[in-house]
Amino acid sequence: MKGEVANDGETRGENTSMGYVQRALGATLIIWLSLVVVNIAAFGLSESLRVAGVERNENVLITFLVSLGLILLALWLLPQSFLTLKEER
Amino acid sequence: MNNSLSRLVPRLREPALQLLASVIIVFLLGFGADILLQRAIELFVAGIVEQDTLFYSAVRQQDVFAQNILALIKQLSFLALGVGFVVTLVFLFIPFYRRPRSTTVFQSVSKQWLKATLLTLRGIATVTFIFLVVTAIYELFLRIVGNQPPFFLLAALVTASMYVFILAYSLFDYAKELRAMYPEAVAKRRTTHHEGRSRK
Repeated sequence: MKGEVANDGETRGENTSMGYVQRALGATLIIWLSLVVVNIAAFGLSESLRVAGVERNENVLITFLVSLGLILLALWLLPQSFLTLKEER
Repeated sequence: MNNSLSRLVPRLREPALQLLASVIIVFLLGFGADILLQRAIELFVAGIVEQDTLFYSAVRQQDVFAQNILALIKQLSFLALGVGFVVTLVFLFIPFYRRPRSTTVFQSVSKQWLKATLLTLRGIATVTFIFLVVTAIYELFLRIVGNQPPFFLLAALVTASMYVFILAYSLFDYAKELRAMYPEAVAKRRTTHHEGRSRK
């Protein structure tokens, strides 16, 4: 009986740690993907501004401000548990 | 010396001090993690600037401008952390002192506080590690591909801002969680109190 309880505890502990590792990997992937999407969009915008003849510093500033909006949008769309790495309540 | 220590230990068991200690620990970790990541991104941008020495002056001007934006992000994040810390303390301690302080209520909540604190610390550490790895990967790409003028600069700015937003959100979520635990505990205490009375 004691052995069974101990085994149960061990399995639960393993599941929790596995669950956390999986969640952390999922969060890494999601954060990485959103960063890539925002970066590609920012680079596209920056190149368009450059072709349009916008000055370099202004180009960086405009692109950065647009990327801030995109980041906020991405963070708003992502599930909360991916950002805090806590279980969903 | 021993006398003052023995006086301090029971004081640390007081709920208000436990709450204060956990908030300080979480914000200190957040602050340290922010410094670490901002430093890593600064080094990344320094690598970009180093590669841009061969480019014409407009590109170097752009690098300086991006470095200024990065410094602004860094200062704003530190300021936000400081303001957030003060606001959290006010937010948590005003209702704490208004309501009756019963030790039995807080004994049940202190375990939940501890759990929330540990989960938040783990979350902040993991997110910081993820962003450090992402920055290292960008650095590797920079060394392999070479600089494509605004791309890596924008990547550095986007990474730094996204990290600051996520850190702020984690800390906000922690403060919200702590605040939510307090009314729950008081409500539980009141329910058990009323049940006890009605049985009598």
